[in-house]
Amino acid sequence: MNRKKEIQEKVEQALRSLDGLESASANPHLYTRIRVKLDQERTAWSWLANFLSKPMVAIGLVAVVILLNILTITSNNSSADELNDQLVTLAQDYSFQPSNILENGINQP
Amino acid sequence: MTDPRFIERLRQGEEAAFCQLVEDWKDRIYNTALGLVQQEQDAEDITQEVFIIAWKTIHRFREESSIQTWLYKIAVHQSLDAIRKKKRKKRFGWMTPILGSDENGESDPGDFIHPGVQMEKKQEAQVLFRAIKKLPEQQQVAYSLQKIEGLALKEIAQVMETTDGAVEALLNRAKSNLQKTLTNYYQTHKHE
Repeated sequence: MNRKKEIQEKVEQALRSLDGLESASANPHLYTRIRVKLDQERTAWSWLANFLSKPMVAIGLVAVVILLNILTITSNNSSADELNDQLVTLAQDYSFQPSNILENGINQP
Repeated sequence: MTDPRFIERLRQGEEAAFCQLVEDWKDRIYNTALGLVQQEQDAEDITQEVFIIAWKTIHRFREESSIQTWLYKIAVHQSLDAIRKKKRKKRFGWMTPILGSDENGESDPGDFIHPGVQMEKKQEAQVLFRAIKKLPEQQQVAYSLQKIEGLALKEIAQVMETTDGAVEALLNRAKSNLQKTLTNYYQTHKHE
């Protein structure tokens, strides 16, 4: 019984331990640190913007994009030809040509 | 501080107004973050982040609420975010030796003592802070804002975007949970 009461008292004591708590103080140089962080962010973005806006870099990037587009188009064309060839071979193998159908007289009444 | 002219100066990007905002609010924001994350370095990082966010998003500030409520809201959000990140990191802690990234060997905040606690209450406060850490998120926020930051029920409700009644219920549940945790603790640690 005594033990239970003792624990209860300790619990109450712990719950009261934040009474009269003083506020913690932030770093006195907080503003300077925030300013440095903001400036660093700005510097990083402005460096990127400056770099991208240089005429040589901008022209180079445009050239790369155009080149990539050309490569994509030409590779698509060659693959279309390949596909066409394969279809023709397949049609020939299975005698799918319209001439064959006419020769066999399937469409005739 | 909710003076519309002051808000306008902030919106205009006036450096002096921003400096004043930081100087006026840094201690309260730091104290709030410290109560939640229970780690001094993390609390300082969060405080910096709160003001940076405020500076960048001041154009979105609606004058329906006070600047105090707005800053506290950001602080609570950032603190909870930091706690969640830390929990995630802890959960995947077993991967650290594999990936080889052991940032700065952060210590567990289990031994945290708030710098504002009175000397003779330090031991009990340490046990209490450990118990607060185990509370569900919303109870932890409500309890910290009341006990550590000393906010009134109405102010807590505004920060948590809820009703006074809901905050009261959260505080009651927090107290009851703390009582249970502390009782368990003192039953197993007889000599403390």
